Amino acid sequence: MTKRRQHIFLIESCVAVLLIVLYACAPAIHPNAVSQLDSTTYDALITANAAINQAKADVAAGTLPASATQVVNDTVAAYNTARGAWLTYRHTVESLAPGAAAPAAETAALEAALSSLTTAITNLQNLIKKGGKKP
Amino acid sequence: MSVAFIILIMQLASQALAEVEKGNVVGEGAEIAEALIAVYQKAAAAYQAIKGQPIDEALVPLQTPVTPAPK
Repeated sequence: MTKRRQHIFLIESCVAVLLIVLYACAPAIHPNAVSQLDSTTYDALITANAAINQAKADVAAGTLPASATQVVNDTVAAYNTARGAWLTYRHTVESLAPGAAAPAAETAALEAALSSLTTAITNLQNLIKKGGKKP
Repeated sequence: MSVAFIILIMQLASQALAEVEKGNVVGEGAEIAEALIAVYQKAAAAYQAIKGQPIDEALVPLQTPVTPAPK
């Protein structure tokens, strides 16, 4: 087994283990979350932020080609929109009386923003499909 | 939602790995695939770091667009 294959096998094993853990465990809510949606959105934004930081570093270093810039920047825009919707939702819920129903408008806006963020990540996937395939 | 999002990133990395392994991506495509593997690793590490911790809004900063490296 070459070093490259060993490296790929190791990463694939990590992916498999993480997938099993994610499927097996119910998502734990953060201690100070105002709701399950607040908690899971935080997880998504933390993950997206780390992914964007790495992608930006790769673009700046020239590891990712210039053609990837637009896709990365679309992801940045979707992340910023989702972040704003999350903060609005979170602070609105915090201002409500305990036990009050979650605000419908803010909830809908947050879910729509998260959907757009997921689409932006999917576009990164499409970039792989299109880029550099052998004829 | 976040689990689906994280799984999507993992699928993205897995696909990148598979394409590189099969030799289907060369040149620019291979660079993208390998860069996305690094993206996955950072994203997974970030998720693990905050799991079970209190929410800290400062860890979710506003992002700025990126400009390509000068040629």
